[in-house]
Amino acid sequence: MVDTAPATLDTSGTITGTTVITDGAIAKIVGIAAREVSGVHTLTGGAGPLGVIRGAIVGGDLGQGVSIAVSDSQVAIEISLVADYPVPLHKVAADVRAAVIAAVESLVEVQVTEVNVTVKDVHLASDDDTGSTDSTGSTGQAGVRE
Amino acid sequence: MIEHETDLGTTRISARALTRLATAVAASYLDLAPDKVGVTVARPDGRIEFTVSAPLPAATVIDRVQEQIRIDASDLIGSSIGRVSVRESSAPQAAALAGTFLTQVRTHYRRDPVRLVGLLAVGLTSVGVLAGILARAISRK
Repeated sequence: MVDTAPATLDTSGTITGTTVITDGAIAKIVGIAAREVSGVHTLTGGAGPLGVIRGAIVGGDLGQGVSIAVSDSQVAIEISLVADYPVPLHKVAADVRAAVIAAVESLVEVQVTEVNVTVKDVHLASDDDTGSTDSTGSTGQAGVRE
Repeated sequence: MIEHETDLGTTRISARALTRLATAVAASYLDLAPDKVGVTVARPDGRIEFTVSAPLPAATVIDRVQEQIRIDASDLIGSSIGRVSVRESSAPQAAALAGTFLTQVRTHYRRDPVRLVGLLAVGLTSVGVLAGILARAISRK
């Protein structure tokens, strides 16, 4: 949460007050800015069934997939997203980072210290062909051995 | 998961995203649907390696396809790919059928996840009730 001014009563008799910008409001700004970037299919609270269930429960939450940490008028941002294929993932991340920093610093006037972007999944055109309505829909027989 | 550090934060690419991207690239060069292609990702020496299994079309020049996949995937990921191995899938039909079935199930319940939760709840409750009845029956004996 960001407090932008202390509560005071100035000598001219005009009542002033404190402007409080909640973390949720900042998260929504971040979510909107990130979704507008070309190559971002959606922001996600998590891949797989749990992410889908969470998405169904919270509905069209613009802050979904975004977490922020505010301290001393500085904000650190974490974003999880699904990228469209075949957009270069590092370019999507860089574009999201630039868009989010511009939006937050201009609209909230707080300094963004870092924007960490996690590409959780890639959306393929064939996901739509199979009738999947969810962005994290998966095709392919995939395995990971790390 | 791979990470790129920048001055303004870290970019992470999940293993799932890597796998899906490699699947799509391989499918495009093999002229197959993505659900016919299997990909495993390994990082034996810190470098990413893909192993692609698919029912290879006739006249596939494997060396050339491997190199094309390696170059395209490197460009899209933003990291150098160490090696790509393309292999004829040993059981393409079974794997394809299993993949298609799982995809259909997942697609169905992604449209209606609340129904999935409901079915799970009913199933777990039924198991609990049956276990209770059995436990009571056993304790009476």
